[in-house]
Amino acid sequence: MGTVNDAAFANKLGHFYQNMADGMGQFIHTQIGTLPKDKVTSLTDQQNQLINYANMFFTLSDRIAFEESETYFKGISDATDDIDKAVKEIKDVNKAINIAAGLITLAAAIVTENGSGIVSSLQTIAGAIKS
Amino acid sequence: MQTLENDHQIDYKYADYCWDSCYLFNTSGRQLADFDCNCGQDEKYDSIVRKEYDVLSDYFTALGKLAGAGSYFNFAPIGDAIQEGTYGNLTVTANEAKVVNALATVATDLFTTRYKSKKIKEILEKYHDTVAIAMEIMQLHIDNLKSRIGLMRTKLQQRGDLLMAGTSADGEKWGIVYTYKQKYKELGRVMATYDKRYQSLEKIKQGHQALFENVNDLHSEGLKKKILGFAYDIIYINNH
Repeated sequence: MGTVNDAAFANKLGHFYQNMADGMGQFIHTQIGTLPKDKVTSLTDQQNQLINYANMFFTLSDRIAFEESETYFKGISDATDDIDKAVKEIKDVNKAINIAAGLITLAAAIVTENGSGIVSSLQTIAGAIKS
Repeated sequence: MQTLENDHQIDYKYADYCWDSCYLFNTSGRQLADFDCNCGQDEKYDSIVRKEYDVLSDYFTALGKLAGAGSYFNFAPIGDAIQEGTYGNLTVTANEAKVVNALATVATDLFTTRYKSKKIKEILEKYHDTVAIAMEIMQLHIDNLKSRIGLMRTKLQQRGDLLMAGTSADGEKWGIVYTYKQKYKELGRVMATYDKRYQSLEKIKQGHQALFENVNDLHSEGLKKKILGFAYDIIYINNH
């Protein structure tokens, strides 16, 4: 049986993805006049996926938990502040697309209970932030 | 207790969200009537969440009865137990059902048997953790719904940006901005209501914690002041 802590983590993850979607939205809002159409389309599609995952996390409650999920969830929690900061400071469109792609992979790994996928997605995101 | 019962008065719940999101997340521009928005499951879920509020309200009413407060009693016994289950994409978890049903049982017991006020200590000690978890679950319900409404606002902004970028006509731009602003404000008002509800629940939770920590000295002046302080805080939250 899942716990209230698991449900609280799902809620926290929902907020994280909500912030990411808002950050992408802010980027689109300020850059839409100068970005090529295909980039706007890519970013918008990615933002939609971030919104969908945020929505999903807000409904998952304690069903988010899986075997040894505590360890993986700690890894996510440890990384969220840095990712949050990076998304707020994004200036380059390709960087934005790469970080968003990593976030989408991470969300997919969480909902499919794929521990190694969570670890590799976090590494991908860290790489995209540094690039 | 009135704060908990006030859930009946929030006129925007999961079913309302379902209708709004069904339309907002479909960007084809078709009429709402053309969408197959099946929100029946959300209505069922709303009725369960309401039941959970009723259970908590009954518990605090029962505590009040034991303490001899007779001025505000509106006890509505919960007929049947809350079942775990999935309602569309929403879930009542096993843990949630267990916690709420335990509280429903104690509230009904307290009202239907001749417990004396000295029983308060025993009840607080035995059910403090259950109440705390139930309150956290309710707060999560509130925050999850409020946040999903917030996501609709994010989507609105995205649609506004894309439509604005796609037109150069002032008239069309004005229409887009006006529609966006209206809905943005409307959803913001709903979110503010849920914010107040969340903060009020936090105060009730703190009040219960204070009772539990002072369980051996329930008649102390310090505790009375503290509880009154929480009550004033709730009134303030709901009036501003």
